[in-house]
Amino acid sequence: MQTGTPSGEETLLSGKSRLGLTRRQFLEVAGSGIVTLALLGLGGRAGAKELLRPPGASDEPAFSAACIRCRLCIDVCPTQALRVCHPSDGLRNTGTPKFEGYCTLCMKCTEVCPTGALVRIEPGQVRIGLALLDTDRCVGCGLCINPCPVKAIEPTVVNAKQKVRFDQSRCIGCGLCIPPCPVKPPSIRIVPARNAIGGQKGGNAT
Amino acid sequence: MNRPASLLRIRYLRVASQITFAVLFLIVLGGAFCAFRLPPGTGIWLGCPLGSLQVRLASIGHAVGFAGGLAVLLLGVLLGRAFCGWVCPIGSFLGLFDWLVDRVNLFFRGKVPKRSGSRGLVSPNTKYGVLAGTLIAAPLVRSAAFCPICPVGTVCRSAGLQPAALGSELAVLPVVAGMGFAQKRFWCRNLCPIGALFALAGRWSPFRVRLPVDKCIECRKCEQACPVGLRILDFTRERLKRDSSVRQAVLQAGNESLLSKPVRFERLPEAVQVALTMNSHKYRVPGGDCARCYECAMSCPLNTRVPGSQARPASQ
Repeated sequence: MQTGTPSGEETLLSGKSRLGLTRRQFLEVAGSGIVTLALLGLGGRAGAKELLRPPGASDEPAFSAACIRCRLCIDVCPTQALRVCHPSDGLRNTGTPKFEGYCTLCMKCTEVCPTGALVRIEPGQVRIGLALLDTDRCVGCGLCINPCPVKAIEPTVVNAKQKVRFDQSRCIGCGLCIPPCPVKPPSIRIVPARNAIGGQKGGNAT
Repeated sequence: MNRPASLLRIRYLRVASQITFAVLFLIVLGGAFCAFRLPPGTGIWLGCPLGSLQVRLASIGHAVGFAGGLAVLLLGVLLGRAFCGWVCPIGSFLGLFDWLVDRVNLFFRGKVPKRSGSRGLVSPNTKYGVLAGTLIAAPLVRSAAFCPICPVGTVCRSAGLQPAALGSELAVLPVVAGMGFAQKRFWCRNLCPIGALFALAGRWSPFRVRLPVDKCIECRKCEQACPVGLRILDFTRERLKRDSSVRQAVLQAGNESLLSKPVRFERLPEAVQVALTMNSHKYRVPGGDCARCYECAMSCPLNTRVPGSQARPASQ
């Protein structure tokens, strides 16, 4: 209005000046660009919460950069182990898949992923997370030993009581040990790999 | 107003297309709009061009698939923002929202307030800034930073009727709809970066809406009908009047102010009529922001034929 565009609202595409922008157009684009950049920059850094990811996401930064948030992996998972992240999982992660269940290592999620954020890897290289055992509540029944696809669980005796123990170097975090656990709630849970190494309470890392 | 049935058919077709794509994205494909795969075996996927670009920019140094987004962007080069008017579920939702608000106003106040004025608080150029900011943010935060708040993405991902799929990001939808009280399609025309991308691509679109510009009586009904408030006459009629061969015919007719006022085509000298008709195909609705909804063509009191079916001059 102040700057004289003769026909009122000339937009970038239809304006007379095809190459040069008017000062007003430049300010409109630059201003909104900076505001968007600031908001998305803040939102993109907010909530770097560590989550369990599908089996093909071995490298979290690469996965997080390449995920187009299409939900295809979530829909294809035969055990429905994947869920959509919401802002409560961190704004940055909203729309990406998180792992909440157990994985049979069918790797179908890596087949449907359009961008290659999920990469098909050998079952032995999968590391969704690590199993964390609450030794105090483990009854030592051993029902979790057979389902383990990588044979990471073996019986052991702790303080003269029958327990199991996890070989953390083998455990891939698939969660198949959890459904058979008779304790309510189960005495095993899957935690992000970095959390499990080092400071774990009640766990029995070898 | 007696609109030709052949033109109205375009509106039915468009609504049918919007419903079809909404059902496809929200129910059949289970919410996968951002990317979906064509039938198994083909190995082809299609997806959001903005999402694909962000993912590509965020993953510098890594191999990342983004061909599906590029394919859709190429469709945008052909058809511009036709996506917004015929496919986008948010565009359909906001169209329904506008329609309902108009009906409610009609019921309680007896009239529909004019909300589609072409000038608003915010410039339509703002969306190009949003697009630029989005594409710069992606490599900086190493993530498709716009996708978490994308209205289309949040709605499509929330589809499938699982309670677990519903989250607070869905608040984007009422916010975007609420903007519609300030101006019809406020989000689409001023802010949407996906629309901005299609608008930039549509600059080169060969498919643009043709109006009977030669016979135009400058009633501006097309501008009132345009859901995104394009200044249609400035780019069609006004430019045709300034066309060199039209200018020449007007000067030869001996009356320089022949076209300075709205005038009936039949009253013009034959040479001017010919010049107008021969050159009218050059001045079509600009390809960028036009959603190819053909509401302008439907509203035109002179349009009696299906757009594009008018025979081109023999010289072409």
